[in-house]
Amino acid sequence: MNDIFRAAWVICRRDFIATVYSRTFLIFLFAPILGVGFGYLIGQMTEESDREMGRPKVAIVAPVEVTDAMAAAHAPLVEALSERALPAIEPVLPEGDAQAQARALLASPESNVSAVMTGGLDRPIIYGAADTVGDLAKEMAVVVEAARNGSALQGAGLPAQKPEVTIVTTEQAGGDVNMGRHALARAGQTIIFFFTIILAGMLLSNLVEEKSSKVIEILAAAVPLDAVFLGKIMAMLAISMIGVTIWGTLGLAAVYLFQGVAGWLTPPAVGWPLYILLLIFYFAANYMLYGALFVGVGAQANSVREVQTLSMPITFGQLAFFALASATVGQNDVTMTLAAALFPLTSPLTMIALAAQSPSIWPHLLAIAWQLVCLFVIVRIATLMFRTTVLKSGKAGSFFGPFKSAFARK
Amino acid sequence: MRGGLAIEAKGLFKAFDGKTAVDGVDIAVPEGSIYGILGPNGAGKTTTIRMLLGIIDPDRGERTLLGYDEPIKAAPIVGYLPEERGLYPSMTTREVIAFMGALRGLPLEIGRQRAEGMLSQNGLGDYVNKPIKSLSKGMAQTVQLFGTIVHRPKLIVLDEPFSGLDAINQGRLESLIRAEAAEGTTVIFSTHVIAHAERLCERIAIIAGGRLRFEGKVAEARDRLRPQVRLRTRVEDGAWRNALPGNAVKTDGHFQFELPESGIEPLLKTLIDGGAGIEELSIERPGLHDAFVAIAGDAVAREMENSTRVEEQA
Ligand SMILES: Nc1ncnc2c1ncn2[C@@H]1O[C@H](COP(=O)(O)OP(=O)(O)OP(=O)(O)O)[C@@H](O)[C@H]1O
Ligand SMILES: [Mg+2]
Repeated sequence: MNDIFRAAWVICRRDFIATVYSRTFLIFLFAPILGVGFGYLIGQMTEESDREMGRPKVAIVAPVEVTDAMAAAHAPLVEALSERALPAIEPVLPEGDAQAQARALLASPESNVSAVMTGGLDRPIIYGAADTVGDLAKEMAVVVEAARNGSALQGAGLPAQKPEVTIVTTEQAGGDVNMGRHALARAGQTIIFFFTIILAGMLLSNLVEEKSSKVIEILAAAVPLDAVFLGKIMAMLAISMIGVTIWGTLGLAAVYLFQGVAGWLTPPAVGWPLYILLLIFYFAANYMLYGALFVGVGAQANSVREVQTLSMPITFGQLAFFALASATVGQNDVTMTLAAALFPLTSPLTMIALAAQSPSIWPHLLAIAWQLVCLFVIVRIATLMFRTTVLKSGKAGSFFGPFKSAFARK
Repeated sequence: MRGGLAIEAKGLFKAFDGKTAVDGVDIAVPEGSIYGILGPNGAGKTTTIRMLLGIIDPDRGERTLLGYDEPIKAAPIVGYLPEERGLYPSMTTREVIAFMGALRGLPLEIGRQRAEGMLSQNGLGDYVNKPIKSLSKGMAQTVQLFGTIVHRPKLIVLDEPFSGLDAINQGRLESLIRAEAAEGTTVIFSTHVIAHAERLCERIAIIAGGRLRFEGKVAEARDRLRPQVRLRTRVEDGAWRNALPGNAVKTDGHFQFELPESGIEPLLKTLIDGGAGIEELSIERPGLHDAFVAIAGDAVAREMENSTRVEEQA
């Protein structure tokens, strides 16, 4: 056993150094940052264009007093609800026949309006396309009503006055906490899933190098295969920890800078420190479980192309398991949650969600022990597959051969 | 284990997908000897070596490696140069050698020092810090050989070590093998070039078609053949011809036949007395090549020669 760890350490150290000094590593480090950056940019752009394009606009054909009153009523409503709750409004001065003007506005694409309102506050008439005008009429009715109240008060010489609402704050609101925790549960799962995918890609390219350079024969002759697998997985884990540390620090810094964490995030049920620890552990476990699978399957391939072909089903599987684990968030189906927690490839994702939602700690102790057992078993199976296929029939290297022989024999 | 066997294998059998690759091979390699495994392409040399080293398990048969039933246990005192050479392309030569030593338990620092020594002694001093991908194929192979022996193993296993080397480096490798053996290291290598085995080995195994055709001393292999006599007489014909062995053939003026059991002297006396007139006479001990032909058959020997030629062209 001692020998295995010594040998694993030698392999781990080499892989670690080789990877950290490679160009791929820089790409790996910057991938999430670029990803987040691009995501942010695209978000900004789409948000802006959504604001421009996505919101219907209603032209109000009326004298200035009326359009002013409408605008005065519209602004606070939009502020209290949301921009999307109400259409935008645009004042248009009347010119001759109101109906003709409304039809002309709707007919021309340049005006960019979805509906036209005429008839002032007293007898509003709305023109528009059949599929949207009904909703727009209801929304505009709210604005018109507020505008009527406003001008009625003004007519009576009274100042427009909002009702005063006294605010009393409490520690928490159960509904919000649940929502926050669900969001946190999903966020934890997404982070683990996302990092695992990135790392799995690195692991694969590393394997391809090994395969194409034929080093594996030297390794297999010198050390037990378990040590080879263990070493590779440990190296990838160490590399991932560098990544996690850097991204984590940057992420936290960003959150502090832009939001001030405390008020923004709902604390997880197990508390922040334990949650972070569990997040790191479950990430490591998830990554190693998939990593072992990738090493086992990827090692069977003889070319980059084959590695890609082989990794595709795993990636799809990963997506499916991610979906399964996220389906357990916020619902009370104990059987399903238990099943997802027991199945090795969904266990870490399920458990990190549980840590956000439920304060009990013992399930995590059980889960950690279980995941370690699973990891051991998967590494063993991967080693066995490797021995029975690659080393015994390395020449032809068929796609299904590995699976056939690994399960048929022995 | 002094004076014992570095490798002992009995009845090794291996089939790949139902096709027999190695069929009942017995091998005994004395400690401190140089041992050759000879055979044409596809004979089963590599498969045999991989079974001996435990990279693959035989379907049947047993082997011990330096006294261990599980070959991997002997790993720290074994060095192995695989047939398909493989090094990490972006590692430097020194790091590769040290890494290969570390795999077998040699501390990295010592490995680096020895690597520098070996590289500079062999004219590769400039390449200590160069990545493997900047080396020629032969240089990379030399580096890999250093990595194979950097931890000073007791047993060195080389699969086709001469292929890919030029004449000078083949000579160097031969000296290196002899030097290792002189220090008590056991060296076993496979080849399809008989000359290397003939110059280096005390014992050989000849494998063809997965079967062991011969295992033993090179001298024994040779002794399977009688020495060959070449004779030229002044007189074309005469009664003395009846004294020649029945298998004698005449080609371009020479008689050629196996040395009779009774030796050459009685025959010579008859020839001289019969007035044949001896013009030319030679008695040649057969080379390993002829022994090989006799043992493995003409067809196999031709295959060997062809694979050698193909290799040289490549
Ligand atoms: N991994 C493998 N999968 C399937 N067949 C194999 C495998 N390795 C070897 N063989 C088969 O076993 C037989 C012996 O091959 P082996 O590589 O041992 O020959 P060799 O004597 O080393 O030949 P060479 O001189 O070409 O290196 C061949 O028929 C080969 O096709
Ligand atoms: Mg071979």
